[in-house]
Amino acid sequence: MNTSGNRYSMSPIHLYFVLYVSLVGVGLMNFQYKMLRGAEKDGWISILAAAVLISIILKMMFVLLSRQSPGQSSLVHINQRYWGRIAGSVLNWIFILYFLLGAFVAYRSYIHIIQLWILPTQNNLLLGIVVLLLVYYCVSGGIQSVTGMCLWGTIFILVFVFPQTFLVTSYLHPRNLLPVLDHNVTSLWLSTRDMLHEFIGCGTLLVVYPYIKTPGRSLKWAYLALATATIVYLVFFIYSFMYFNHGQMKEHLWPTLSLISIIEMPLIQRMEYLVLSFWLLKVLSIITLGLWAACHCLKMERSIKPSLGLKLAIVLFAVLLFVVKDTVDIDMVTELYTRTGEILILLYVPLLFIISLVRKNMGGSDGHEDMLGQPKGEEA
Amino acid sequence: MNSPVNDNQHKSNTPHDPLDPCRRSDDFVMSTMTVSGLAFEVCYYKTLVDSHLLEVAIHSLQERIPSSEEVNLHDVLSHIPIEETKVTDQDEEMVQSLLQGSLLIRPCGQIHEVILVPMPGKEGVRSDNDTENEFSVIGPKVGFVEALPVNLHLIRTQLRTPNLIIKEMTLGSLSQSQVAILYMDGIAHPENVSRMEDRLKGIDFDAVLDTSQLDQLIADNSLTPFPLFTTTERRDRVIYALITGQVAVISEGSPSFITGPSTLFDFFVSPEDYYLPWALGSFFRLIRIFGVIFSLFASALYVALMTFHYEVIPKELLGKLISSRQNVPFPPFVEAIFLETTIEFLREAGARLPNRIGQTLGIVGGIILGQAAVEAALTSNVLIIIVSLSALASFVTPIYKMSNAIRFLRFPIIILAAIWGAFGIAIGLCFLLVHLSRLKSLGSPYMAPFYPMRFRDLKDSLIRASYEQTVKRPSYLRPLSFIRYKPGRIHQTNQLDEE
Repeated sequence: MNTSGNRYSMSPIHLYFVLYVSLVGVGLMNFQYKMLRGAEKDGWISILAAAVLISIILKMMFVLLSRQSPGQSSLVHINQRYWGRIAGSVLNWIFILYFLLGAFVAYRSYIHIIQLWILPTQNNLLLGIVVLLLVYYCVSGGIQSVTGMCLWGTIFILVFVFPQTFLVTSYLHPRNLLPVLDHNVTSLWLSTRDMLHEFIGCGTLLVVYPYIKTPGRSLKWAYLALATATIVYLVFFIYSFMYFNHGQMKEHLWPTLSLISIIEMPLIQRMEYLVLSFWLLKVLSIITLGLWAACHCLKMERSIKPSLGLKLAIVLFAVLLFVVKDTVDIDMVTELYTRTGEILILLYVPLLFIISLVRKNMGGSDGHEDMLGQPKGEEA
Repeated sequence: MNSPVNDNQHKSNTPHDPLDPCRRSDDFVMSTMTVSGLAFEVCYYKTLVDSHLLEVAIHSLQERIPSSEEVNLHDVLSHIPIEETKVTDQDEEMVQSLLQGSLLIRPCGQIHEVILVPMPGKEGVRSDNDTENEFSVIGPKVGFVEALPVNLHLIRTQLRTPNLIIKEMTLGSLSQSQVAILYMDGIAHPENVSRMEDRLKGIDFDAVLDTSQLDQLIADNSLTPFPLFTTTERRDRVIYALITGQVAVISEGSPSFITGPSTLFDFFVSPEDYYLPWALGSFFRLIRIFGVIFSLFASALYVALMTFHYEVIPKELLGKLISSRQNVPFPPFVEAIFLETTIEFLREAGARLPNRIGQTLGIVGGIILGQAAVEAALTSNVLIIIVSLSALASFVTPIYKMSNAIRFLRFPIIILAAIWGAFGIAIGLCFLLVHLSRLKSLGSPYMAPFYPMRFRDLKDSLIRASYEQTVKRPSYLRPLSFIRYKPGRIHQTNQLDEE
């Protein structure tokens, strides 16, 4: 890897893996179930609609970030510059908590599923701590090992899990999806919103962006990641709705797992045991990315050493593992996360985008025309 | 070396004779000879010098030195027909040079200016230099021996370019071993070269016995089971490493080079891949990688499935599995550890025993023991198959150090599988992947070209693309010039078009 100065920078292609990991979360296992309260079998429209909205948000993020002067193109700086020290700090803390919460939701739901599905007799303390050790080992390696983990997480899903789904093809009932479009706009919007919740992890882009070597050329990788995520969601949606009819779907809390469980291969069946276990790679990449983003923001905001922040976060997770005990608690935390994410990503980012446009037009101090990289903002 | 010797009995001992420390050893010869009326002292270690050259030197000294009153060492020097003979007045250098196998000549009574005639003996070096451990069916079988000059000669004869730079240094406070750093000027990135040099210079070690010790001393991370530098005894391998921009290091007395920066995939590359058609080369390389993955996870998967996830095995197979271990009184974990340990015993004994006994032992251990273990219901047939297959598969890596790492890593993964089943294996895999992503070899990422992803370099990692494709050197080595060669196109005429 080419080190520019003393700092690690990643080639644009790694943005693909980072964003894919951010966009596809643990929700991939049960998003179909959530569809039932909204668009049901018309959910594919919601998925597409959500993807379009997210692509707009991504574009906004890119425009917003590329308008900043070179050294300042990170979330923490933007917040401080646009809102002043105090309000900016408050916003930064909200984002830090939001990233932590995202990592924790992934962590807790995964441990929960593992316990329910594969290791019902095991003590979740030990499980949780071992996973936390892994997380610590990974995040302490800095962004290198985090993006590395994102790479493996992505490859794992796309190469080992995703293709297996097609083995179900012969059992499908395409008529389950018919008639098309018999839901009203309200229920479609309800599902679109649910799908947007799956995608809100993309906020990590705001933190990762300064590390990209050639940010200008990386938008296409971001879109490609979004396209891949959309296709993965679509395929799992279509396959599970074609396989289960409406009544059956209500009985399956994790339709994706139920779908995978019917696959039979010569040496192996009940694939979901293996898939769920090795899903750890994917979940680990989500957790580490979130934790890294939080620690990184903490460092920039309060100049607290990332290693200290990381240790605190790990302890916090271990404590929260006990506080958040059952499905109800997890749902509550998830709800909190999605609500915050909704506001931060879907409302706050467009707001920032507009501000950056306005400031530009007012001859403001965004300073991107200053090619020498002298920050001219009021903070500088 | 400078420790003053106090028992000054000898006549030449004015305050201190630089050669005193050497005298204590019985193989140190110090005799006086008189030539044309002049008395010379001739000193050498008889265990270090070449007796033939010694004879030549003494002979020429006796014959050719004209009689004269004054002793001018430079005159004497010109009469000795041996290269690199020199005059010195450095005490340090005298002793050092004696220990490197030189003959020391000094006029009696004049102890601070001497002639040094290098004549290192070449005994003890094996004469055949076939590869001992890294075999290939096709391609040269030339390997290295335990003598540095011979090894450097072997490299030079295949890279006849002034751009091949050899830098020598002395390492080891006791062994004083020569260590050579080789690289191609204009290809290898200067940072890699200087990094290697700095790290080697920074070493303080007593006796360098093999290049692999240097490998560990200069490694970026000493807490890893993975070898961070490629160790090889094959000439073609070192040359390939040099022309792609790596830096090679060898120490005196070692038959193997280390080359770096290495990546994980370098350890799955056999020079043979490049001698076979690319499709075959690629296929064999994939087989090797599959073999290693199988070897890492097969026994662990058995333990996981038999302990936790019976459901995963189809019922036709499950019946066989259960009947094969219905009499086995242990849990799968104990069974697997028992067999894996047996295999390790066999391997370790096989590596230490002389060839012929080794074969016998292989038969006794492999066939009789295995058969008996099954009959005694200590283990199941299926596990024997799995364990021996994975032992076999661990040896497919062309570099021995990597197969050691693989075999070592099997055990923690089996233990994890026994605790958490497939989830435990996943944890092991994650630890491995994170660890590999963090590893660096000479400052370059170890997982390249996968992580960081370099599309162009993938052509020669998992697979070996055709020579038309691999025109450029891999970019993770940051070579100064990228183009290796220009692929010539052989004009093919289509037979149908011919009139």
